[in-house]
Amino acid sequence: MQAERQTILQCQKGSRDAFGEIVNRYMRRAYGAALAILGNRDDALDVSQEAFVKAYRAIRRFDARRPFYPWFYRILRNACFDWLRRRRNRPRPGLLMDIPDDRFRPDTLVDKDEIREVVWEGIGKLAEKDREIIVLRHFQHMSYREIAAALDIPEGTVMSRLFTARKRLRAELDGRISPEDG
Amino acid sequence: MECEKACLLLMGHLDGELDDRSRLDLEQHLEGCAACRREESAYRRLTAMTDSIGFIEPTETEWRAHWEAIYNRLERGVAWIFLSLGAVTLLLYGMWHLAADFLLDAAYPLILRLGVGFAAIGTIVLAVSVVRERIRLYPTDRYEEVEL
Repeated sequence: MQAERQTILQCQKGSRDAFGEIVNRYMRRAYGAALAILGNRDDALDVSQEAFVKAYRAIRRFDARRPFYPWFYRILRNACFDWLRRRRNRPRPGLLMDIPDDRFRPDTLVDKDEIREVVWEGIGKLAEKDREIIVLRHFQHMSYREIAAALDIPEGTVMSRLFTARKRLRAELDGRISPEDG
Repeated sequence: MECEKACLLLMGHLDGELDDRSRLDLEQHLEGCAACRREESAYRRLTAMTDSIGFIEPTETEWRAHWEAIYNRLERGVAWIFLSLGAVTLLLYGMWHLAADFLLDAAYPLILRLGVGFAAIGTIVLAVSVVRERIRLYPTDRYEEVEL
């Protein structure tokens, strides 16, 4: 934590090498979060890059006494949801050129494994809000306190939102995975 | 405790986030409620599966390219600011001269000056609109190299 603080202070003085250390430390985690929200490898890489660039530009406003990742995660999630919004609003080129949705294709996300593929598909079918809380808990391994801080919601709400999201995920997987699996 | 509340608390229980008192209350309820025990078992399987699904990681080469792309974008951000400032300065200079040396010069016929003036305004508006659209679409336009 102390070492990270020193690195952040160097970033705030304009050191790109120091920011490189931060990127190196968090890029895998950021990619995982973006992938689970966007469901596409190339998009996840692009958007996590964009989030790091935005974080660097805003780093002087960041309080270096606080942990970096929850702050960065808010930038990342905004970038992901902006991306999804832009994608939805993108003008369609026409019926003949309609581009198929390539998000949450399990074969591009996980090594061949039936259960993993089915779970990924299920996650892909969730609403963005439900998917995000699953991501934070299961991919980012955040505590309820960290999730509450990242989403700016009361800690007590985290449990109920997780319950709703898991219930919906369970319904998506119902009948596709037998009770003995997992 | 009602089953509805027990199901909610199950989440905290499975995630190791319950305080001692809630945990004891829940355990007591589970001992006497077969339906909630089945729910616990189902959610335990679900959380274990979700925890373990993982994803294909980018290769080391892709990670290196990832940082290089970020570094380039940081550098290019500064370049874009200077380029934009330069372009705006030149544009203002050009517009000033167009207005002073041509549009306001009565030596040229009025119809010609009006025509050139409207065409210049239209070109500027179109150029700004196209550039703005390209900037807005660039991050999502991964099909630009598709040949039909």
